[in-house]
Amino acid sequence: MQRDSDPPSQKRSEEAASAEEATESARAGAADSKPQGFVPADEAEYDKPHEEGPHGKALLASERQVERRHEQDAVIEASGERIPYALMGYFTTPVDIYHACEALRDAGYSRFDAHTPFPVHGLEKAMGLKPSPLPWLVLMGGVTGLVSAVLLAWYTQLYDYPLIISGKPSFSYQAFIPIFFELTVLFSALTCFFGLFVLGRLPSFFHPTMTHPSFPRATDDAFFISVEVTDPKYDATETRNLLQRVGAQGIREVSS
Amino acid sequence: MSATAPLQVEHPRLSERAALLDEAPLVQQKDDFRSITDKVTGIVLNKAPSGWFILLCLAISILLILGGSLVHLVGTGIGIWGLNTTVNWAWDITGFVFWVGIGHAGTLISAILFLFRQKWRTSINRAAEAMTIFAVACAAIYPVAHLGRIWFAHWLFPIPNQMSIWPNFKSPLLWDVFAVSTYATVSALFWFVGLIPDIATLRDRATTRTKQIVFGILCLGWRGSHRHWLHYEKAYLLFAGLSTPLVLSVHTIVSFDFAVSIVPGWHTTIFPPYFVAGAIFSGFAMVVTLMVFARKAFGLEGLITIRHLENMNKVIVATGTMVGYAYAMELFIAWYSGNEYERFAFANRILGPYAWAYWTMVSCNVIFPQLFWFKKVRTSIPAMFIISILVNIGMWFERFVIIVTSLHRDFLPSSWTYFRPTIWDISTFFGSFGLFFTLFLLFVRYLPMVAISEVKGITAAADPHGSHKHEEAHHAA
Repeated sequence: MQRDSDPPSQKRSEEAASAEEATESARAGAADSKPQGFVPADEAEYDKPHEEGPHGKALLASERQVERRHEQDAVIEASGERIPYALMGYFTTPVDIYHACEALRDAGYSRFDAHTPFPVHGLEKAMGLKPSPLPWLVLMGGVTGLVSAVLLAWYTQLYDYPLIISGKPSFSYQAFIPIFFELTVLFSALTCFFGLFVLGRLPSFFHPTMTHPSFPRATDDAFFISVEVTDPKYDATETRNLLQRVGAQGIREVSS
Repeated sequence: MSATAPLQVEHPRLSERAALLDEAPLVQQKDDFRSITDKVTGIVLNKAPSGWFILLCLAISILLILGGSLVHLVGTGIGIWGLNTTVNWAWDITGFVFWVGIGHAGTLISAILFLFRQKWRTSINRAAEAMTIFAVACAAIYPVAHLGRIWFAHWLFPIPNQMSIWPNFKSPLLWDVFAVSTYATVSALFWFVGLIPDIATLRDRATTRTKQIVFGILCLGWRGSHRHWLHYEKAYLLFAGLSTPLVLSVHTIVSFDFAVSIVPGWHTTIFPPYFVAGAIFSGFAMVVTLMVFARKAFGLEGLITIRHLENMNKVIVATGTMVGYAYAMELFIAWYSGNEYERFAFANRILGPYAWAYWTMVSCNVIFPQLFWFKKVRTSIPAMFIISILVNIGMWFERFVIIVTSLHRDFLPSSWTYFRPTIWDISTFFGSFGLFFTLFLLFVRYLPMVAISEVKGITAAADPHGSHKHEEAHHAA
């Protein structure tokens, strides 16, 4: 029986043998149920070699997970095995990709994506995507900007050190409108900018779909579809047949 | 899809409308997607035309003049300019308003024309937005430089300081700080967001590993995913919606620098709309000047067509007419008000020592642009180039006339004086063109100067619906 107190080299060879199951379960995020640190069965075990982290102390559960993950990655790289990510194909007109997305949506697929050189009108409806929540974020940003501007004006002009300027009221909303307006717009624009990246999880410098050999055409003149293997309706042959039926070219599996 | 027969109209149904209105197509080169990509990315990825480097050297040498002028200014003081206690704003604030005004056209093309669904904006909006950012950079030099003690520039902002004092929120000078900072930031963000997909195109066609890495980092890993385009389109619309009131408000706030004062000739409510119209007027003229050059130099006549230039000239004649109306109204109201100071201010402009400046302004801004009512003039490249330069000269003089003629003779005759610029006033302004053109030349060489994805999006082939008729036409062809 494998125990955490076994020396690391023994653990590694046993892991190599069970690499495939370990891949699935570890990547599915199985919780590590072993206790933190080193739990000896009796006093003598303190002297036997036990699992240690680089800091010389016993490993935490999270550190164990990370180590195991590194070892699995190394095994996979060594064996040349790739984890499939999606099935990808491309079209050369927006009409074709529109119909293809509709076909995929109607067949019940949900984890698929389209890659186009420009936004094709209405493709989100064809894909069955929900509208973007960005406008709500920007509204909240704008309201924050307005409130901040009012607070700034109140604090500096009325509370902290009011200046008497030709007897005009210290807090004059009419005179402060330019500042209120500008800060509202500034906060809205900043929210819009960062919201775009947060919602799109950008920057993402590498993505499996970029490994398709024809991918450079996605920003040029071709319209790609990628159906993820984790989609509940995904089936290696059925999905491929569906893509071929809607006229996709260059259908290949891309892996991470 | 056939790539052999270039399309001549935008949409089968629109072809009848186009024929009725005698409208030329918006893309007059081969308009399949690959050709558009090739054309624009070729400018960045291939060798630059030989003239580019010479022009860049020229621009950098003019930029060095600016650098020298600013160093001398900070080292010696504002006294090197021709300012005095009567005329305490002259070429500095003229230059500031001039450059900020030019910047507004770019935002108008990007944002306002987008909201009005004007498809022709897609060929020029990238270059126009870049022009905005560079113009605002040139403008920003002046409020800082004219402080004198520029190392205290942070006093412009409401941040806690050792004097425990805050700036005056009722002052248009502080409103300017907020307005111009916001405008610069929002324009830069909008421009960058628009660039992301086009930089991704460059990354995927990069000829060297260095270019691939640099473009790859700048485009944040964009892969054209529709899940991203969904948010992107919303962001673009929101930016356009935010920038539109921003354009209108920023130049309004700049006009408040004058309108909120009590100086005769400044204290009029016509200033906000008059300044905004004037800004768009001079900005479009600068875009025309730049585009006439750039389309010839980089072979972009197929994307930036005569129709695009003609549309810009129509905006120029429209805003020029508004500016002419404003001149007439100022004169009328000054007379109608019966206020002797106001009446004198305008009589002084027309007949006084600066009459030469006033009449230059009127002829350049009111008379010459009216020639654009004639289609022959609107569509003639030499004519529009000359008129656009005259418009910019006229608009510089407009700001000069407003500022200097009102200051040099206001309420107290014993303070009246005549302002003359020194060589440093002139060299600073001249040098600011060096900054502008250096930045613009670097932009056209290293970044895509046409919005590739947007131009593709407005071609007929980009429509995912109703193109069946169009496909049949292709199969028949």
